[in-house]
Amino acid sequence: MSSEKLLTLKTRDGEEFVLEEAMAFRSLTIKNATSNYTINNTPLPINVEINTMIKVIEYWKKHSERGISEDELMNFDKKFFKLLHNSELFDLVVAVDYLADKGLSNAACEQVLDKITGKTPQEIRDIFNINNDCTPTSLGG
Amino acid sequence: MDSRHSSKNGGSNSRSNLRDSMSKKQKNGVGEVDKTLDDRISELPDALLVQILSLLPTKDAVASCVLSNRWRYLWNSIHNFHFAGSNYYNKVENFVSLVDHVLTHCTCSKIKKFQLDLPENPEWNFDSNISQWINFAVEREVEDVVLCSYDEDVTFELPICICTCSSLITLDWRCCVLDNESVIEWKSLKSLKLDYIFVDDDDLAKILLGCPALETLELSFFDGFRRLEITSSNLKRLTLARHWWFYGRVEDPLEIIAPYLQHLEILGDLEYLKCRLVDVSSLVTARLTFNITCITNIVEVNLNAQHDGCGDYHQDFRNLVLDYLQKLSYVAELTIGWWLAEVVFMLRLKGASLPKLKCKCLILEMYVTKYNLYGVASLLRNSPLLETLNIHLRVGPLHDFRCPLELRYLANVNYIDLQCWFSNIMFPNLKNVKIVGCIGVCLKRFGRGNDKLFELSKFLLKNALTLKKFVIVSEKRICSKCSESCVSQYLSRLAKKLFDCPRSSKKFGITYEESALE
Repeated sequence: MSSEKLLTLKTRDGEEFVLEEAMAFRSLTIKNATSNYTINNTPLPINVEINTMIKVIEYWKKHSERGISEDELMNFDKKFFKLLHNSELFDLVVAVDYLADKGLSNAACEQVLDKITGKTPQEIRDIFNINNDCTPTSLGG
Repeated sequence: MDSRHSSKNGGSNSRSNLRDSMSKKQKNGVGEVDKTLDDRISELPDALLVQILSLLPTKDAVASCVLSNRWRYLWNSIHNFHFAGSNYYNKVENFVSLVDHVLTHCTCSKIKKFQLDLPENPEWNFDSNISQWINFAVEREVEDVVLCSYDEDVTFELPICICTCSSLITLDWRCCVLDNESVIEWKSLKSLKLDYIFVDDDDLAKILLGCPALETLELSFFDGFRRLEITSSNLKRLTLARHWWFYGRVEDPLEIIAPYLQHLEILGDLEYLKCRLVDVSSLVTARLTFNITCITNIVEVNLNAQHDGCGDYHQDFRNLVLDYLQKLSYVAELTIGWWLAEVVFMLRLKGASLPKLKCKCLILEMYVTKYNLYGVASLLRNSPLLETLNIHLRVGPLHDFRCPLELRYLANVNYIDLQCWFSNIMFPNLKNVKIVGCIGVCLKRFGRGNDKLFELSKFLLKNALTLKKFVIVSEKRICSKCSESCVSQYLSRLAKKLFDCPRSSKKFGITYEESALE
């Protein structure tokens, strides 16, 4: 018999799910939103898609585990981010920025940073499919 | 599709119903995302891209302007600046132009971190540049400032504008010169690191008075003051490293009065400086891996008049170390280096009795040799509450100088009966022993005849009746000096030898771990 408070959330693409309040409150956005409305089981709408939310919750769950060591967390993070395609990573970065979870936000940005660091502009363009629309004259500096 | 559950096992049920939705979506053919031809990164909002760019060295952040039109001006908004001058030797003008250019175009109103690694160039005087650049940062309420230089002989004056910067939280200034007239007022400063610094007692007191919120103070390569009094209860960490002998006052000790201090470190080559701990009654950890040089090493001091001229000097060392042991007898975690261990040995040779130590964790930062083994043994004998012993194999700075007196003392190691010295050491509480090989130490040829680590380990295994864990941690790194993985070779040999040694209890094993550092 669990006495933990639960929260119902509804994603941007219409999916509803239930989460423990304590975990959901890792997001400041969610935390602030719930303080303004009375709990009557109306799902709280969040501007995140379900696929991305699944990833976020996976991360939150691991980082909420009792007794987990720093090393285990580091290994988890490494694997977690390694499995993300660039597209999923960017979705995550945007979602976490919206959700206002500083820890995950920093971790996700560091991942993007890792992909940029030490690379030439052309290499970066190749990794992220950036279209070089700069004309010589537009680069006045 | 409404898939709401109102079950009490919120966590696991929410997981499974999300997974259902996910698989439904995949069946609808959304599929592989990696091969998309979309430029997703450029779709991220400005603020996020700026946040990412702010984590890059500034030169790279600026270079992002060529990626595409979207990226042309993003770098203008970065809020961290790190100008690394390592590749600008002989091209100082380029470095200065870069910094000027970047700062002219920057639009952020609040800077988090501002770091300058100035290039080496003896001819260029950076003072006015620094003043301008730091002013730029101060005007934008900078929080963390770091200034260092690749040139070790140059000093930089702290510009006036930063002396009263109320937004400053951490300051790391190498090669610091402080103007006597300047007022220091750092209301928010929590961490101060000054390297290659010369200040007198009054100026140091003035600095401390100006940072009431200071929690960490680190002074390295320092001189000029002989009194360090810390009255603020916020200042809990103090590190003093490497004394820079300039003053000529060889005799005067440095007095440390810090009743609220919790963590003290005195490290590196102090040359002739003796640090006296006048009041450190709140210490929790103390790390004393420093070494002090005998006075006979000073060329200017003429000791030909007296034969045993440095005898008194070494007596002072012994008194100093005895005082340390007394003042630090209650400290929970003690770290000592080879110099302290050698002086403890000399104390014991002279028949001095050592105080009982209450420490629970003892860390030895040294390569265990025949010269410091007995000092270590004495400390172990006097630490009945010890639960953890860690040995970090670390060779100190190349210290070849030993005066004749020291050599005579140390020669006694050849006449000592090892068994006798170790025989009645009890370890009533020792549970953990860890030996760690450290980066940067070449163990290929070091002191084969002097090595006593095996002896010490063997002794611990046999006599520590409450021992639960004995761990040896190595690393696979290739040594830059011998081009082999000398550390892991040495430690794995040690582990093998120890596996066969008699053990006080069969209940624990010796663990050998190798971390692969990439």
